[in-house]
Amino acid sequence: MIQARNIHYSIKGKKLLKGVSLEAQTGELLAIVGANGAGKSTLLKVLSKEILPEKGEINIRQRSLDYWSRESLAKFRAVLAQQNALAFNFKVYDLVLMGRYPHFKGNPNKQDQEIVQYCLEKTGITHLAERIFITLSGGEQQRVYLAKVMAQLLDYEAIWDENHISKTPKYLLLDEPITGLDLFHQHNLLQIAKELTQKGFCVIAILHDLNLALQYADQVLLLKQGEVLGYGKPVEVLNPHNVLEAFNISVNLIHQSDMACPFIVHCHEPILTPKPAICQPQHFL
Amino acid sequence: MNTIAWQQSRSLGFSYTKAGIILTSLVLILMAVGIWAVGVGAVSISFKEVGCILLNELGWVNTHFSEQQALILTVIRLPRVLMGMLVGAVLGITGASMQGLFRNPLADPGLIGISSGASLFAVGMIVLELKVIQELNGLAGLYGMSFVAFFGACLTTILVYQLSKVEGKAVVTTMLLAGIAVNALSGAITGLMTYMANDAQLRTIQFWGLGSLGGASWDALKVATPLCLVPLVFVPRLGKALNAFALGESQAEHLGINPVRLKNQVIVLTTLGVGVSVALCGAIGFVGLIIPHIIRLLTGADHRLVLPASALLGAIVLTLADLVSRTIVAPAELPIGIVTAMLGTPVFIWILIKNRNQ
Repeated sequence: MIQARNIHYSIKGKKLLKGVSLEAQTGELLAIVGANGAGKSTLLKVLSKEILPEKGEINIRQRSLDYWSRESLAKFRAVLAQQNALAFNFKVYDLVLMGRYPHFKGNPNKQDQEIVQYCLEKTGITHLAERIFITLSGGEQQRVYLAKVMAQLLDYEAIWDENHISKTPKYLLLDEPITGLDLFHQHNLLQIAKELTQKGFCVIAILHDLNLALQYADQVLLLKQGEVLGYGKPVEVLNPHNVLEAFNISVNLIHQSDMACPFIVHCHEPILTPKPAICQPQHFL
Repeated sequence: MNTIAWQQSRSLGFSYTKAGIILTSLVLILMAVGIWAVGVGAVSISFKEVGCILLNELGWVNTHFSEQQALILTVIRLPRVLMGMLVGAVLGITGASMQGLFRNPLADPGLIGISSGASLFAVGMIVLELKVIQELNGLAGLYGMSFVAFFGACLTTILVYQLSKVEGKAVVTTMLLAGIAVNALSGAITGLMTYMANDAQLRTIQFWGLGSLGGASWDALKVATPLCLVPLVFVPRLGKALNAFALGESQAEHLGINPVRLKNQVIVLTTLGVGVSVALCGAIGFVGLIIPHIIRLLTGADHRLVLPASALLGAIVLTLADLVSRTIVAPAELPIGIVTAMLGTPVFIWILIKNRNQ
């Protein structure tokens, strides 16, 4: 369980987080949503110990984040960052193998290699294994990084047994993981994340697509200017009122009987400039 | 996952067999180059004679060589070749680790001010002819100047490191800029002193600008070997950490790497190794920059192989460069910096063009 209580963070006098609290369990996918600059990435950085909050406390596995060393955190918590610039011409395979670095000293053993192989297969990049990473497209690179963070956390047993549940809780933090991915791979990535929650993982992901949040998340945390606007079940949090408040855009939540979850459509211009209340697709241009 | 997939996976990525083959062949080339280099010169010594002299030294007395050959080999050439290997290995490995630390293939050991600081102090000592330094010279014998140069190398590196601190943490990009600034400043002061120098002093100054292994002796080796072995032994252990560092500092941290410790380790080891080599042989350029590039082209980017392979290739290249420098204008000697730059630049340009076409 990751528990954050009353997190405050500011940089150069600008308050980025104002009293954010959350609690994410294993077996749960928590989506963090909000407008640009709402503090989503900052929150994820605080949760991953990349920056220290001014106020508030974070517990992971019932212990304060300060208690855990880098080395021990790396064994059960992985972070997929937003901006990933790689220096030097590493091969895809070697990059994914870096995910196993916290688990071996010196040389990787056979199990590490099999885990890497499994993660390459799972993310559909086995055919890229021998390619130089920086020659790949943005979407392919993103999938390589996903394979890397998966390799960092997966137990060896989990690659043979689909129903294996990790003995120690694992935490996966994803900062805009689907940026640059095509439609198929967006869903593929979130399906993988969802499967991982069933293997004893807790996944926290920053998402921009509210429909994907509705479809995949178990919990949604809606941020606005560093404050929590809504926290709970996706359908409850992402109601038209909250979305208007957070994104300044009017939407409708459409329920269709043959679909498992409702979907959000934009209906007209923001309320600040009143327009006829009919849907005008040209506004998307 | 099936067995076929697993069998395929063995050929993927970093291969230990390949790494072993590359390192072993580099060691063999280094040994061959070393034996060749001790034989070539004004007095030529054949491969067989080299063997006999060495066996004689080790106690197996024989007389398949002349007295003169034995003296030249043991007193002049052998320490010089060994010094070349040592310095070349240090420059190669520290160059690779600096590029890894700065996440930039254009970094080299001189970037954090080691060479410029050493040159500044050495030139200052030559030109200003300070009393204190001359007394020190009396105390430390011939190595007074090396000592001062080493001190200068450490001092400028500490300055660069302190300047690069933002909120108590050394920031790599700031370090790069601080290094450029400090290098420019010490270059300017060195230039000013060169301007003030007389003809005899200018000759000595040239040594610092371009480097030479001419001063190598068993005594110098005794000082250099333990100090240079420290980086040669410890830097290869940083391979995994430097690989993770290529992902960026925060990503490396998420993989359990301590970036502060890694930075300190690389900087201390580099200053030690390069400081000693600059102090004894002057500033030899290009080796630290080019060697890791060539290794990466041959082997890929994995630092676990790049670090030891850069050391070996650095040793090979510097031994060959020294061979050229002492034979091409014999009986005079060309400063080794000229040779490394003249050979290094075309290779570097070739790499640039090759990368551009990729």
